[in-house]
Amino acid sequence: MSSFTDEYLVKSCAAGNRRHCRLIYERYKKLVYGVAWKYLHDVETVKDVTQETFLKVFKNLSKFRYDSSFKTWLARITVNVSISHIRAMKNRKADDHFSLNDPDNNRNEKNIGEDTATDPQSLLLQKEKNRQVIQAIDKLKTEEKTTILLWSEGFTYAEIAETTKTNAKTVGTRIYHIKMKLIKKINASYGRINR
Amino acid sequence: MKNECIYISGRLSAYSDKEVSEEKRREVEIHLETCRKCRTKLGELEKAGTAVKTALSCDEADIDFSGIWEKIESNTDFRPSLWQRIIRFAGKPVVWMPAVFAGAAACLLICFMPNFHSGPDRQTPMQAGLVESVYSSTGQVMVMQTAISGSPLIWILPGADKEAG
Repeated sequence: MSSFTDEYLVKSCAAGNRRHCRLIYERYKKLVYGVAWKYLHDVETVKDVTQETFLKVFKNLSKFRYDSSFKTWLARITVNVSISHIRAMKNRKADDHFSLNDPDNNRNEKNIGEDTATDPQSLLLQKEKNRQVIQAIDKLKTEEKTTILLWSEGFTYAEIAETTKTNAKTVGTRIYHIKMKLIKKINASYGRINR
Repeated sequence: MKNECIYISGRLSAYSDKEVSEEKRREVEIHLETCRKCRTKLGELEKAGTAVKTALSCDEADIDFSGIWEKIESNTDFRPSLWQRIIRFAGKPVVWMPAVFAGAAACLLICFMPNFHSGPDRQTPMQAGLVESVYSSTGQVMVMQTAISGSPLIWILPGADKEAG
């Protein structure tokens, strides 16, 4: 990975340096894909969102004013593109409610929870637990959902606050309440969470 | 003790995410040493966090990132637009400030040129159109008469003694 700063790469890319645009892509492709995946859980749609996000980013790079970090600006665009895709999919499937746990969407099931379960029974239990967690996240309000999805992508409270235009304290409180909700949900389904 | 539990439990999530200051971290750790209830709650919060990360994880090994880039590249004109280039040029004071100063200096020079020439103590160049006659046999001594003053102007150039002779 190159040692150029984001600011240098952004300026250079905005000036038309294709190689530096590629470096921005290489640096942030996993982040964009990861965030989009958390929203959509559909390989083809996530690829489209990744592509659309970077197209938007490169088109608007000259408008980026460094009043936030490039990472959080990029994350905000990814979140917006992901949400608009969910809305579009909901409109397309008017009768078929689209959500993170929609069994009909082209989800890459093998990715979910394989590293924590080995035997078929545990795998099945793990999958069911994942489904419950995703279902619970899907029911959250938009801002809570964005908060927990970014948190699970490894964003710090400050970065989430910058992305969602709030403050770190609010982010901390949201994450705490979401975790508590999940604990209750999973405990209700499986008894104690650590079972 | 109960009040302390309420205070600490509100910070357990941030503590498990390593989002508390060193001072708060010590505070939580001291409390956890003696409070089993809070230790249990911390364990649950950590497991809830792990459950979220596990459920939302994605395997990046099989993703065709090069293919995505090819599509982005084919749909993007990386060159900045003319307007963007103008904005960028104007945004660089180092580039256009000398040009502005040079232009201003040239304007001032043009404005003050006539005054410079027509000052009372300044020698105005002779206007060729007003020369009435030029007398010279060798080109070494020239006598010119202008229409303005009426008086002749005499140039004596090197080698003028030949003319006199």
